[in-house]
Formats: sequence, structure tokens, C-alpha cells
Amino acid sequence: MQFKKDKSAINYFILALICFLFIISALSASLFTPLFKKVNYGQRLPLLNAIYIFILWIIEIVVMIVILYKKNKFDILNIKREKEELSVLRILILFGITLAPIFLISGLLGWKLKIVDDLGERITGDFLTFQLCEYGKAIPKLFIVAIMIRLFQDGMEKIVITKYQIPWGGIFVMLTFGLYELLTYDHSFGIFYFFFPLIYGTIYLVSKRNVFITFLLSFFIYLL
Amino acid sequence: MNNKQEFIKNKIIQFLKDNYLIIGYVILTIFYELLGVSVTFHKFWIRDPRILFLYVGIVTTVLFLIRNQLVRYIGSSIMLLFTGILNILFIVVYEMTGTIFDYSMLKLRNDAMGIIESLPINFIFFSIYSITYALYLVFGFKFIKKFPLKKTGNIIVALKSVVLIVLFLLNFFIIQSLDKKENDINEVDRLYGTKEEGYTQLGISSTVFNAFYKGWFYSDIELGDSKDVEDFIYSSISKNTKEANPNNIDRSNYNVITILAETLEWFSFMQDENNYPNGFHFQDPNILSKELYPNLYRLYNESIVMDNFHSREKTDISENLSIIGSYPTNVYINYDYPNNTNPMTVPNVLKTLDPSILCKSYHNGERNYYNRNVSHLSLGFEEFIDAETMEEKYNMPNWIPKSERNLDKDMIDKCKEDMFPTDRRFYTYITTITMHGQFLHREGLEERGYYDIMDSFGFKEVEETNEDNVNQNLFRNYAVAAMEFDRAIGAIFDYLEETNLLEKTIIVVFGDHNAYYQGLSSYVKQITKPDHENYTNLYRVPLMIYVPNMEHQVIHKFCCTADIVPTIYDLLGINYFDNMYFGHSVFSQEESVLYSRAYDIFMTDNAYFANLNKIYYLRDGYGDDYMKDVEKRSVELLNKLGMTNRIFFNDFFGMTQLDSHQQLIKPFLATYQQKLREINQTNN
Repeated sequence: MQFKKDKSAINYFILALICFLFIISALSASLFTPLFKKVNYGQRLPLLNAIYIFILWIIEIVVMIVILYKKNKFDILNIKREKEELSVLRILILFGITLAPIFLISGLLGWKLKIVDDLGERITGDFLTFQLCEYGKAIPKLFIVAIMIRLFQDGMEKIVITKYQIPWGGIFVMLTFGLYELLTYDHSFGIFYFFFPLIYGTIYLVSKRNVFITFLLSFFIYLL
Repeated sequence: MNNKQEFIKNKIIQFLKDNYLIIGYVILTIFYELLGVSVTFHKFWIRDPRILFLYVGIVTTVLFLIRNQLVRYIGSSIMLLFTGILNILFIVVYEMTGTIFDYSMLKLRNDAMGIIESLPINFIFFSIYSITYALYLVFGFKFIKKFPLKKTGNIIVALKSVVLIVLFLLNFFIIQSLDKKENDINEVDRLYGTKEEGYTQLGISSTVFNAFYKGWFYSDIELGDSKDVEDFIYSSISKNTKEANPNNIDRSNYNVITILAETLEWFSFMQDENNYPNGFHFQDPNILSKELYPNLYRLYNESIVMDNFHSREKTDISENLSIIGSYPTNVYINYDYPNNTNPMTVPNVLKTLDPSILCKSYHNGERNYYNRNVSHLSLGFEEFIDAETMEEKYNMPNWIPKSERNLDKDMIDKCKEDMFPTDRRFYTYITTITMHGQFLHREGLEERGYYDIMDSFGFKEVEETNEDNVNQNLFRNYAVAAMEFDRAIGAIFDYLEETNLLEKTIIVVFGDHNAYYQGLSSYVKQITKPDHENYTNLYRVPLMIYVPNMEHQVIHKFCCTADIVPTIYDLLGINYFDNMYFGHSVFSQEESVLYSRAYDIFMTDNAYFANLNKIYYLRDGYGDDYMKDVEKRSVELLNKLGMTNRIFFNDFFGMTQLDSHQQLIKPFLATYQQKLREINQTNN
């Protein structure tokens, strides 16, 4: 492992941390909880919270992307980068990386899909709405995660040279977002949610730094 | 390799490159269909794949006509997604209900939301489908630019269009001929068909397409000559049996209570390690009769018990069979014929013979579930009282908003005075709900302390470390719910005794179906497949009839839900036109054959078959002679079924016969009621 000096790396790290703050900003939803607590005996609260968080995250992402592009011509999503076609081997590896956690969780659930387990027993309209809200929120959340991975990975690679690629982005997200999820979400597989960012980080590398593929596959892992 | 071989080889390679998306689409579609059949019916083949091939053929031709790989990719991806969703959806329906799709099922879609407590997406199908579909999406897209299509001339496109049109026409005519064949058949032909079980016949998608096609274009049933219908109805009059009334007591003023006990099984309150190896295992089985289910044991010991009674239907059909005595095929009465005129139902027959009788129906479930609030009125009940009404009018605790089942004893406690009036004769139909699956731990039952009682007898909840423990807990939850039903029966007995109504009230209690939810019945009975030596025991459920002044007896004759109505008439001494009823009195010598509308299956206690060419189960020691007798009885049943279809579809009793000047000359309803009164006056 060799180190080199590149002051621009710090900008990447700051941006990655800002993205993490975006995720934490969802906690602000609790400020509005008392307002809606009495609407339908509080049954609409998850829906209203989810709508608020969804909109908040979308606004934050869009504002960040637009400002960075207009002010600094910084392409945070790697859209302008010349696309490299993925080889068949890489595609198959991506398949394997995505399927492994899905099968692992399904196996632990007694060969039941996580989405089925999430819905659980006694499905009611309210519960279904709540669960759909959770999936809805996961879309911008995992998009932010993909951006965090891209920023930290590229930032680290500006200051560290390694023989083999290391998923720095994944490690960073694991220690921030993963820890946050582990501490704030009451789920029997919380420990897996802590480690999953490592997989997301690996996907980012295998997909030749494609933020969209990273987002899409991480969303599948989250959902299934 | 010579030039010719080289040429052919190149041609083939070029064809594969040009059409890799289409080839992938065809292989995957057929594979998904086979996979769907395999996860539902455990067979990796489809007996009649014509519709499937035509469907795939049409999509394939359309894809061939498209001369752009990207558009082909999008089109084939959408079609594969459609196939996958269709299969997943109907596998879920099959795994939840055990039934295959038919067009009428669409009418149950709102009810389905009411009973869904979990969504059993089949893991095998879903995972294989998602992986292969994702591979198709990724690699299909990857090669679009590598294998661009060559431009072809207009003549070739025109030729392909002609092929497409021919395929469409062929599809239309073949399906039409299949349907015509199915619709033109005499119902008796069901017995001699060669159809495979469920989705093995056509595959899942094709079954759905076929059902839609039939539902849209071929659902009409001709009434035929109304005289033939009348001749059939009135040609046979029942004979009351001596066994139903050995002391020749006049029961014409007796009340009748019919209780459809949701999911009631013998094992809900009985210990029998031979028949229910995974049921109760108390060292002292008397615990059950003395402590846990005293009222069900009282009912058992004071009733005429049919220990060979079977049901293979869903609740709505069992309910209708026990009120009407017949049921048409391919429809759901509650939705398809909610406003028909039905003079043959128990309430209408009783009212025809005794206009003073009060007929009401009670159900502590949702008002519009199975459309009961509409259909029960057409069956002859003055009123249908549902959970909401019970809450509003009788102050019954309603657990539905808390996603729980209501409690049966609450219903009886709160409604008993209206349910069992002392000032006039009554026929009361009660549909219970507490024992309805899924068999979960319920707060309402917890409040009653039933779980603690179970615990005190050592039947405790176990840690779910393996499947057997999970099933034991399911059984425990079910047995706890049965305690509530037991208390409801106790409340009925107490009130009827208090008001002296018991001495002139017949009480019919029957299980509408086995405990199929979460496979509980299969688990407790250790029966899963027809290769089991006692397979039909899977569908054996209780029927107990309390008749004042009749000693307890056990009847071993095979009987089924369709026998309930004729038995009630027999007990009351009512003569009826027995061609209108599928069953026979349990006291008669005649034995019925069960035809399941929901599962398209015939059944006796010794045989289980789709048709005579597809016998899934025949008990050891029963051979051709037995099946010949079953065939005879089935033919009799199917003749009645055919006429029932005609009567229901055309609302025969709501019709009036018109003369050539379109003048009303004969209302069929009035004729039926008049003839019914006549045969009862004559015989009385």
C-alpha cells in the first residue's frame, strides 16, 4: 500500500459525510410527529413520515447534484464518464454477489423471501401501506448510499494506491450508515445490514464504478 | 467441411444471432409454465399445451415481425414479466386456497383481501424466475448491439404477417372448439373425461387465458324447454324415513338451528391417536370432555353423530349447500345469482309450509363478505345480521378492527334473545368465525384465559426450533379457538333450556371444511397425498344433529354437506322434490357422492377422483364393483347438477311462462310452492 498527497480527496470525504448527514436528516421527521399523532389514531403517521422523508431526501440529492455540477462541474453520478462495457465474467460475479445475501437471508428465514417475511402475518391495509412506505424510502436512501460509496472510494483512491482494489467506499458506509442502521432499526438481521454496505462497495468496484448499477443491485438486496 | 455445410452452418449461426432474444423468450416462457405446474402439482409436464403453444406462437410471430433488436428486447422482456407475474400470482392463490383459477373467482377478489393474513410467495418459483429473468434482461441487452438485425424485404414481412393472422385465427378456432366441447357437454361427461388435475392440464397462464375466454364468451347456459325442467323437478318426491322419526312425533312446529362451525374438525376436541397422530396426547383423555370441551362433548353424547361426514368445499359453498341443498358449477351463487328466486332453500320451504316461521341468518364476520348481506335475503332469510350490526345493535365486542376474529360466545350471548325467539317458531342459521385460520395467537382468546387453561393441562406453547414445533403451536392455537366455540355451544344449550325451547328445537352442527389453513389438517392427521391408505379421512369433519327425544346414535354411512338439507326435511317430516337436492337424508339407505365445485373432484369415503379415468385414491379392498356403484350414483348426481346449472343461470323460478301473445300464464315459483304444499298436505 502506498500513499500519495492529493488535497482534493478531502472534498470527496466531506461530500461523503454530507451524504451521511442527509440520511440522518430523516430524524427530523420526528419533529412533525406530534402534529399527526392524532390523525386516524396515529395510523397515518408512517405514511406521512415516509412521504416527508422521501421528499426530503430527493430534494437533498437533487440540490447536491445540481450545485456541484453547476459550480464545480463535478459529475457526482459518474454520468459523463466514458462507459466501459462489463464482461460476461463481471456480470456473472455481480449476479453472484447479489444473490448470495438474498439466499443467505432467505435461508435464515426458512427459505422464505425477506419481502414475504416483512409483510408477515395478519396483513392489513395499514400494515401494507407502512411496508410500502419503507420500500419507498429505501429508494432515495440506497441512492444516497451508492453516492457515498462512489465519493469515498474515489477519495481514498486519490491518496492510497493498493495492489488490489479495496472497497473503501463500502467500508466507510459500513462504519457510518451500517452502524446507524444497526443501532436504529429493530430487525432480527440487523447485523447483516451492518455488513451489507461492504457488498454494495464491492458491487461498485465490479460494476466498473457504475453508481446506478450499485444502487439497483443494493435495492434488490434490501428488498429481497 | 464443404461449402454447402459451411453455408448451412453460417445460416444457422446467423439465425441464432438474429433471433437470440426470441429463442430466449420461447425457452423461458415454456420453462416458467412447467416450473409453475411443477411447484403446484409436482409434475414437470403439461398434458394439453395447445393454448400455451399458440400463445407463445403469437408473441413469437409478433417479435419476428419487429425489425429492431431493442424493441424486441423490450417487448419480450415485458411478456416474460407478464408470464412471471401471472404464474406467481396464481401459485400464491393455489397455495393459499388449494384452488385453480376460474373466471368466477374474480368475484371473490374483495373477499380475498379480507382473509389474506400472509402472502405465501413460492420461494422456488420466485428465485428461479428472478435469476433467469435477470439473466435474460442483462445478457439480452448486452448483445443487442453485437447482433443487429439485417434488413429484410417487404415480401418477407408480408409473409410473416400472414402467418401471424393465420395463427390468430387458428388460436381462436382451437380455443373455441375446446370451449364449445366443454360447454356443450352433458354434465355427466365430467365423469368420463380425461382431464388432468389442476394446472397440469393446461399450465397456469393457459388456464387463466382459457378461463377469461370462456368467462367472456361462453358462459351462457340454455334453459331448454321449460316443460322438461318442470318434469325433471316434479318427477321424484322424497319419502320420509322411519329412522328419522321412530316414535312418529309431530315435528311440524319444531324450530331448527343450523350452525356452520367454521373449520370444525373432530380433532378440535377429541383425542384419537389413530386418526389424529399429531393431535391431543393427554394421558387422561377425560380432560378434554370434562375440562376443555364439556359442551361439545354434551352435544356429541346427546346427538345423532355422523362419523363419516365429509366436506371438500370452501365456506361459502358449504354454507349454500347446507341452505339450498344444491350448487351450480363454474359460478359463485352469492355473486353470480345474488337475487335469484330460490323456493327450494330451507327457509323458503319452511315459509311456504308455515308462513309464521321467522328465518334469520347470523354471522359474526364482515357484512359484505361473500356478498352475504345480499344473497342471504334471496335464500329466504328475513334478515342477515353481521358483526357490525351485532356491535351496533347488540353491543357485541367487535375484534375485526384489531385484525382479530370475533368471538362466537360473544355473538350468542348478545344475540340469543333475537336468535331464538320464544314467541314464534324459528329457523336460525349461524355461521361462526372464531376457529377461522390462520391459527395465530389471538388477543381475544388470551383475554378469555383459554391459553392459561391449556397451559395448566401441560399443553404449552413450545419454542419454534423446528417445523414440528411450529405445527404443534398452530394446533394449540386452533384448539384454543375451539374452546371458544365450545362455550358458544354451551351458551346455546343453556339459553334453550332456560326458555324451554330445547325440547322442540333441532340443532344441526357441522364443520364447513377441514383445517386446511397452514396445512394443519394434514399435519394433525399425517395425511398429505392420495397415496395414504386413509386419504379421504383428510376431509372427514363433524356433523352432529341434536333432535329432542332422540337417543344418541352414531351413523357410519358416508355423508356430505349436500345431505344436510334433505336430513332436516326428513326430521321435520317434510316431503320435497328430491331432484332439486344433491344429497340424501342421513337416515335413508341411499348414499351420496360428494362433488366438489371448488376443486372439481368426486369423492366418497373410499374413493377420490377427478373422473373415472383419473382415480387418485381407492381404498384397499374396493375395486370395480364399488366403482360401478359410485358411477351410478355420480350419474344421478350429475344429472341433477346439469339441471341445477340451467335453473340457476336462467333464474327459472323468477321467470314466468308466457303464451304466444306474451301474456303471463304461469309463474314457476307459484307452481313450485303450490306443488310443495300439495305433496305435504297429501302425505300428512
